[in-house]
Amino acid sequence: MAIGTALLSAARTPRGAPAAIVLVGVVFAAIFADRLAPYAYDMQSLMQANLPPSAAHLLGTDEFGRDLFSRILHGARISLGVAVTSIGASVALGLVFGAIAGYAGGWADRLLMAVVDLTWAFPEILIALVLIAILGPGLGSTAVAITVGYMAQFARLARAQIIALKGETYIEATVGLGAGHAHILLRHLVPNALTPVLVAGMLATGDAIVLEATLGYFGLGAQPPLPSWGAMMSAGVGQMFLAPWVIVFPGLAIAITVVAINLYGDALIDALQIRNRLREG
Amino acid sequence: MALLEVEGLTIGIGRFTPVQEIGFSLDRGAVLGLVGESGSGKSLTAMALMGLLPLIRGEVRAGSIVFDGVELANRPAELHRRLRGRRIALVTQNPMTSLDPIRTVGTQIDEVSRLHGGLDGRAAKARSLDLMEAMRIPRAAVVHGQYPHQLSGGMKQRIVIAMALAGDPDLLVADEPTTALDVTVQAQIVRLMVDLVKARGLALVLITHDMGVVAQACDRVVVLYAGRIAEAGPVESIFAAPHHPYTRALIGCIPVEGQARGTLIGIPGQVPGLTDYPAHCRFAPRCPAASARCRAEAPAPATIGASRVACFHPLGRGA
Amino acid sequence: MTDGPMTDGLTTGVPTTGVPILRFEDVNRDFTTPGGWFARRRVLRAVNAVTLDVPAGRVTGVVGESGCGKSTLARLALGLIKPTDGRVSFEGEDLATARRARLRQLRARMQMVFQDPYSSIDPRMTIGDAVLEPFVVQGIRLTGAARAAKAEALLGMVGLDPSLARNHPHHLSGGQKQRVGIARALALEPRLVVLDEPTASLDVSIQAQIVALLEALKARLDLTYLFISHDLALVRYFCDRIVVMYLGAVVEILPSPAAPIRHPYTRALLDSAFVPDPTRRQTLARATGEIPSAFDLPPGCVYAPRCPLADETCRRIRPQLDRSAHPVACHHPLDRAGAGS
Repeated sequence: MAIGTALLSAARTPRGAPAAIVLVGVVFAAIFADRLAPYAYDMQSLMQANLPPSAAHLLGTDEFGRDLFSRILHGARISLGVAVTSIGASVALGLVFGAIAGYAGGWADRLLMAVVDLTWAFPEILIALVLIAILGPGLGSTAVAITVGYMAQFARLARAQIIALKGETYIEATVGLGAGHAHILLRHLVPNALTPVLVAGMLATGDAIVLEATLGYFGLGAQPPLPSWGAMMSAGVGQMFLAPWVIVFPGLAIAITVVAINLYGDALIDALQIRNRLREG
Repeated sequence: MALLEVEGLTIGIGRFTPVQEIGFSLDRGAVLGLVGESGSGKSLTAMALMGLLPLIRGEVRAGSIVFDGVELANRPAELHRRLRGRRIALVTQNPMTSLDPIRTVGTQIDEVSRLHGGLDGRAAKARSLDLMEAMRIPRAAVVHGQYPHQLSGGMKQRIVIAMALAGDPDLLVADEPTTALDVTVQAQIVRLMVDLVKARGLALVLITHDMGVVAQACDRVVVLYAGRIAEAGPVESIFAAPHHPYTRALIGCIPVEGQARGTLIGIPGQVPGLTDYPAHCRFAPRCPAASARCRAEAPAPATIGASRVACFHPLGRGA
Repeated sequence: MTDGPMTDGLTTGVPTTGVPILRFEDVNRDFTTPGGWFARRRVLRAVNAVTLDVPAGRVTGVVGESGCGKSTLARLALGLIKPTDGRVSFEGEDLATARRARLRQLRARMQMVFQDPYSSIDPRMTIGDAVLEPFVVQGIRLTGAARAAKAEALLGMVGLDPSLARNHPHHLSGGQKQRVGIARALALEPRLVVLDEPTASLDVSIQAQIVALLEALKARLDLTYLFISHDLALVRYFCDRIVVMYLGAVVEILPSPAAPIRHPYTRALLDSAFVPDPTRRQTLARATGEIPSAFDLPPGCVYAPRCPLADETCRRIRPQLDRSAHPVACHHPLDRAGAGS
């Protein structure tokens, strides 16, 4: 099934439908945060600190009196933006390394996979912490950390796909037509390997949101006053008993988004019938 | 009464009816060929005999399957379970699907004798060795202790047939048993099966797409096309004078010795899919003799000589 | 009836009927299993000392069972794999030493039709793109109108409705896909087409259609075929000359389909065919056994373990293909056995 039709049919399944609605909402919020937010995310009003949810502040305010609803909308932009761009870069790099390793085989494969396996051996969070220790905290470092942390899984998956596809008769048939390496790789192997890697990337975006939040929570990601969801939760710890909504709502935003991504991704895997192919690598 | 009597068998899967009104009968010591191309319904018919249709959400919608006086159509799974292996055995195309890769082939044959024949270990093994020798497996005692992956495809299929025989069945259903094997091995196994049927008084339903196998192995043949019988009858008369244009074309698809170049034509077009079975004669779109009537209504089987033929314009009727 | 070149073909520069277009000279091809920590590397000789000419304008058949090396031979013929020893040359050029750009040019002149039509077309391509891919690969640019016209002509040539061009392969039946495979192979107007069991995975009625199509195309386009099959009856119908292989080696070359058989293995192949005539039933004459593993070949004749005529000589000395007009590699060829020698 083509990925376009699969996206739609996944959204029509009982699991996929609510997830798709949530995801569309989150993406919409991220894109139009400026227009949707009733207040600026950094507008402080100490008089209105730690207010519970009300008509004026739908989700209440934090210790600086900033509107939580507005900050969560802007947080969607940052958390989602960082996760999506860095996973995108990770998928792209993973595809390049995996495709080259799988196609070339031999020593090139062993060398590339040795490097990839090195990062595979450590938890993503550890790789991220090491990289941020080198690069210094900030959104850029977070993005790099996520990109590198997840690349191994995409490289492995892409490599496994390419190796399996190399044995297909149509590849041999195309070689028989006189095709060169670039044609074989770019016209046949990579396009056919793409779908499972993209779906794995989509599922990893959920994990990346959590990783970004974790780094943000430790103050290693987005720096104040930028409202990433993790950083917002971290700021809420101090008022946990005084104003629990400050930590609960960003946490809910993360949980709902990640669950939605996983549910939708799962429905998509079924729609595309690629569950077996994702296990490879 | 024949060992197996199938009448008006109609198989449904969901809103489709892939097999319609198939009938045949089979005596002990005889080989019946069910022949047709992919999509003819021959494998579904085999599944109906084995009571395996529920596996693919299929059911017998009409007709009867009477085996040794017992009606099998739409009977409880328990009845089929008791018959399978013991009275009716199945040999499939791919021997690997019938063999457990992590157990020796010998213990797998032994098990059937123990389960169905109630033999003890030593007696079961002795019986297995007998059966393996009947299947012309060289060095049977050695092979008995080997694993499936150590054996060639032909050897594995011989083991599967020995396993089928171990339950001492009355009816053997073989679905393309040699298609996956090498030419020289195919010939040996088909001929071996036929000899065993005659020697042991078994009945064999042999499902195949190859009219050559039918000619060499079967006593009677049922030619299926798109889920219906095109022609059925004794092998000799059907090959000597096929009455249905499809039967003749199917025989003509196999090149024979000395056949001149350019005379192998095949059958134009292709078997219709389940979703677009025509309401009229299903072979009409590919038939050289099709008339307006063939494109308007479906012919009912009629008796011509020793055969039953479903055709408005049967060949050689006058002859 | 020999393979010798005819001089009139050389003057025009275009190989004429009978001149070898493809040559195997003492070709061996080994495959090595990838040894591991616990597995020793093992060498399998898939093609063993094959010397063979494929004359232009004719149909040369290669027949044999699994492990006989016929598919390896097909891939060697097109330079898809290189020989371990020996030389494979197409129109006089050694394929193993040809430069990449030259190989690409040569490949436009020799094409292959594969056994499995289900996996021989990229599932993501439309049928139109698939039949036009040869031009893309060869760097031949076609404009929009020319593309459509070319696709239509190619599909029409193999008897397909041109409207199929917009479909994806999974909408086509096996027979239709094989026709697409043939159209792709013929797009660049090759001289030689290697047919690797092109009908083995098709229904009999479709198999006969495809064979008829291949016959018609050969006559129309002046093609040379190397036809690989396990079906001796089909090969005898379709081919001018028949090469019989067993476990990597050529055991007999029948100069014509009607030539009397000389090798016991060819005889066994013929006896194994299911003749569609119930009045000519073959009985189970003898158990001829099964093909041994190609990893541990016997020292003498590889067919000796299954051969009813085998004696001590056969088990010790491997027979060589003789140099007659009807070459056979056998110590006891059938035409002499009958004479009582």
